[in-house]
Amino acid sequence: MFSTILSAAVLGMDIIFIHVEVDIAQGLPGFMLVGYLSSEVKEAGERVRVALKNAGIPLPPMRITVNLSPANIRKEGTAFDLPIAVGILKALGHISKECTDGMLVVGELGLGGNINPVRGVLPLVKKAKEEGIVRCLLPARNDREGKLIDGIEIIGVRDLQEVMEYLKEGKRYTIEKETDKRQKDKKQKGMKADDGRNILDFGEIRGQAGAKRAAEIAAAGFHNLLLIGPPGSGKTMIAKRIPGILPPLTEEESLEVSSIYSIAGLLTDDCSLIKKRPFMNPHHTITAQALSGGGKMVKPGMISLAHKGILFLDELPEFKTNIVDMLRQPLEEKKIRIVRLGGDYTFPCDFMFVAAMNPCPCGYYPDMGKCSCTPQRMKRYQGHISGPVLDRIDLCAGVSRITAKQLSQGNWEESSACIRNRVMQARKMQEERYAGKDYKYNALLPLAELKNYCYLDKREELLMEKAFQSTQMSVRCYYRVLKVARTIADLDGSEKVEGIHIEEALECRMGGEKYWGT
Amino acid sequence: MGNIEERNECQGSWKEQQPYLCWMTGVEGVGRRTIEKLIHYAGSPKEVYEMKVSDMIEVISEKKAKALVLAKTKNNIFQKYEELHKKGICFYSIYHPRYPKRLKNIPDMPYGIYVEGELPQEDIPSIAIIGARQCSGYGQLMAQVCGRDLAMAGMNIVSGMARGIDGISQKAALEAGGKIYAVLGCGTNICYPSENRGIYNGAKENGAIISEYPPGTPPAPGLFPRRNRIISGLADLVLIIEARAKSGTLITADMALEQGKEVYVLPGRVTDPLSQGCNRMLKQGAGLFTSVKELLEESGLGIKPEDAGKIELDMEGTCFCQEQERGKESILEERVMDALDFYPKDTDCLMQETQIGYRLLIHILSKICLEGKAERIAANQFIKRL
Repeated sequence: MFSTILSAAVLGMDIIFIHVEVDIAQGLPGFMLVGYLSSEVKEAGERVRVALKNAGIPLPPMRITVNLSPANIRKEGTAFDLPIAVGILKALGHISKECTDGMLVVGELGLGGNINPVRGVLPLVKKAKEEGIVRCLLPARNDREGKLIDGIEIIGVRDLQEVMEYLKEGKRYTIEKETDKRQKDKKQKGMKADDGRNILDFGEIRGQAGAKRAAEIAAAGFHNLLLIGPPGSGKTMIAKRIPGILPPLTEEESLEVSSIYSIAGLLTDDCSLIKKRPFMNPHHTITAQALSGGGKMVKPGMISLAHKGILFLDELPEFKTNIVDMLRQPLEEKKIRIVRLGGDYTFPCDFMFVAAMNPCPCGYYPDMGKCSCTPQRMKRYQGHISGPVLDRIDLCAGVSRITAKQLSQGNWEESSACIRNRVMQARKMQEERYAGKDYKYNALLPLAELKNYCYLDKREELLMEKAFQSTQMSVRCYYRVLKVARTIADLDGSEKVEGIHIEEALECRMGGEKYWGT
Repeated sequence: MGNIEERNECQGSWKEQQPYLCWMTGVEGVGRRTIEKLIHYAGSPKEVYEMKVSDMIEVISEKKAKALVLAKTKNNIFQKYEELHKKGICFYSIYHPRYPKRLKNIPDMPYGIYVEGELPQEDIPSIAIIGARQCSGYGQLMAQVCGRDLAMAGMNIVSGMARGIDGISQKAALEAGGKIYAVLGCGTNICYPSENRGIYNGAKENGAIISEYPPGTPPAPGLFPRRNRIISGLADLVLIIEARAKSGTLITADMALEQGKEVYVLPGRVTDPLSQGCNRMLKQGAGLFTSVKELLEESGLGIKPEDAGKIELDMEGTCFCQEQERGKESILEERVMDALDFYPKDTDCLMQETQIGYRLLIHILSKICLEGKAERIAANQFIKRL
C-alpha cells in the first residue's frame, strides 16, 4: 500500500516541493522516516503515531516507511507532520486515492490530533498557485494568511478529525464561523495598529525644522539618513516617524514583506498581511547573524525584516564596527546572500538606512561650554563608523536641543499626512522619470546617469564649484549633494535642479568639516 | 646653516663649554638645579666632565651622578654634539653669545636650548598668544585674527604649537607671512601634535622650533608646564585668548607675571566656561584686550599700528566695513547676520530670532557662508566669521 502527498519546504526565501511518500507493508512493525531529515522532522514519526491514535485511528502493526523526496535536500521544520499523517491515512485506505489530487498539505500535529500553525505559508501558497496547484490543506490558524493569495482554494483545518471529514466527505469544517467571529473581534482591536495608518505623527515634534526636512527629503528619494545631535534632542522620535511619511506599501510590496515575515514566523493570527512599512530598531548589542540573517535553520535577519521599510540604528558608534560594516553589501545590492553548510539562501533587504548618533562621546559638541571631549576622543568615537558605510549615507541632519520656549510655544507643526503627500508626489515624479529603468529612486541613481537627470546651468554649476572649493568636500560628496538636490527639486515639482535646491542639499551634506572632513 | 658659521666665527671659552653642557642637559633626571650645583662645585662644565662619581656624590645624589657618568662613557659627547649640528639642530648654552637675552632674564632659565631654524632677533618685539586646546568658535576666530594681524604688524608670534588657540594663532601668523617660534615639550625633531605638521614645517622655514629637551625626547605630560616658562620668557607680551577656570594657560600667565611680562587677556561672557579663567585674570588686574590696534598702542613696543597700513588692524573697522556692505544687501540677510553670533547657533534658533522660514533661511545662510561671513561648523550649526 503506497501513497504520495505533495508538501513543500521553505529554504530561505525559496519554496521547494516535497513529495511525501508513504509505504505500509508487512514486516517487522516499525516507523521509518528517511530523506535527509533534521531532528525535528525525525520526531514527526512519534507525533504522527500518537496523534493518529488519539484521533481514533490506531496504526496497524506493520512496517511503515516514509520518504521525503527529493532526498538530497535537507528538510527542516514541523510542516511535514500533517502530510505524513494524510499519507498514512491514504495508504491505509481510510481516504480515497483521488481526494488529494492537486492538493498541497502542510501542518504541524499535536499529540491530541490538533493541527498547529507553521511558518512560511504565504510564500508557499503563492508558489503553489504559480505551479498550478488548486487546493491547499493548511492549519486553521494559517488560513487567513493563505487566503491572501487569490485563485487557489484554501482549506484550514483544526484537527485530524476535520481532515478526515473533509477528505472523506468534502465537508468543510463547521467551526469556521466561530473562528471568524473571534477574528472579527480582534480585527477591531488588533488590526487597527497595522492598517497602514500611523499613530506616530511628525506634528508632535516641536521645532527641528532642519531635521524634519531632511527626513522628508530622505523619504522622498529613499536616501539613507544620519541624524546627529545631543542626547535627548529627539533623534529617535524623528526616526520613528519616518515610516509614516513614506508612501503606503503597494499590494505587491505588502505581499513581499508579509512573505518574509511569514518565513520568519512573525505573522500572527490577527495580522496576516503587513500593510505598514516595517521599522526595525535593533539594540546595539545585536549579533551579526541576527542582523544579516542566519542560524541553524536559516531565518531572515533584521535587515530583511526591514525590507521596504526602515532599519534604524540608534547610537550608531556603539554598534560593533564589524556589524555596521556588514551592512555595506546589502545597502548596495538590496539583498543578502547567506551561504551555509546546508545551502545558499538569498533574502531581499531593500531598506532605508537611518542612523542616529551623538556628535561626540559627551554629546554636546559644538557647544564648547558643555563639551569636554578631546579631539582624540572625538576621533575615536567617530572612527567607529567606517568610511564605506558613511559613503552610502546621502543625508546628514543636525538635531539640536530645543529650548523651553520652543516647547511651550504652541506653534502649529506640520502633520505626517501633509509631508506624506509631498513625498508621494516626489515619488511619482521619480517613477515617471525612471520608467523602464531598473532603479526607481534618486538614491539609486547611478553616477553615469546623474548628468542626464541633474543637469546644471551655468549659474548652478558656479554655485556648486564655489561650494566645492570653500567646503573642501570630496568628489563623492559632490555627487551625493547632486543626488539630494535632485530629490529636493522633485519635492518642489521642478524638472530642473535650481540653485535653491542645491543650497538646501548642501545644508544636508554629510556633517561639517569637523565630522570626518566631509 | 647660518648659525653654525656664526658660531665658528665667535671666539672665546664659551665654545669649548658647549658640548659639556649639551651632555649635561641631555641626561634624563638631571635638572637645572643639579647642573647648577655641579658647576658651582667644579667651576666650569668642562671640569664637571672630568669629575668622577665619587666626587660628584659630594653635591648630588648617586643616582644622578651615575647617570651622568654613564652618558659620557656610553657615547662620545663631542661626536654627538657634532652630529646634532649635522642634523640642523643648534644647541645654544647660556654661555653662547646668541642665547636669547629675554630668556636670561627669567628665573629658572634653561642651561641650554635646542633650536631648529633661526633664533628670534632680539630687537623685534614678540608676543605669545596662548589659550585653551579645546576652544570655542569665538576663541578660534580671535586667535586667528590676532595671530594674523599681529604678524602683519611685524611681531614675532611665540606659542606652543598645541591644538586649539596656540596652533590656530601660529597658523594664521604663518599664512600672513610672519615669523613664528614654537616651543615644544618634546625633542625638536618630533612634531607634536602630529596634525600641526604644517605649522611645524612652516616654523622651521619662518622662525624656529625651540625646545630645552634633547632631540628624541618623546612628549610627556610632565614636560609641558615647564616649557611654558620658555614661551612667556621669549615673549615681550603675553596674550591669553581663552582659558577655563582651571587651565594650564593660567600657569603660563603666572610665570609671565613672575618674569615681569605684561599679560593681556581677551574678555568673554561670564557664562562661558572657556572665558572664566580669562575674566578672573582681568579681575586680578591683567591688561584688557580690546583690539589689536589698541594693544599695539598700549604696549609701547614701538610698533605703530599705522605701520601696517593696509591691513585691518582693528575690529571696529571691519565691523564698520561690513555694515556698509550690508546696507546694499537685502534686509533679510541683515536680519540673519544680526541673529548669528560667534557662538554656534542652530537653524531652529535662527528661525525663531529672524522669523524666517526654514528654506528661505537656508538660502540666505548659504549665501552668507559662501561670502565667508559665516560658517557651517557642524550639521545645522552656524557661526559668524569676520
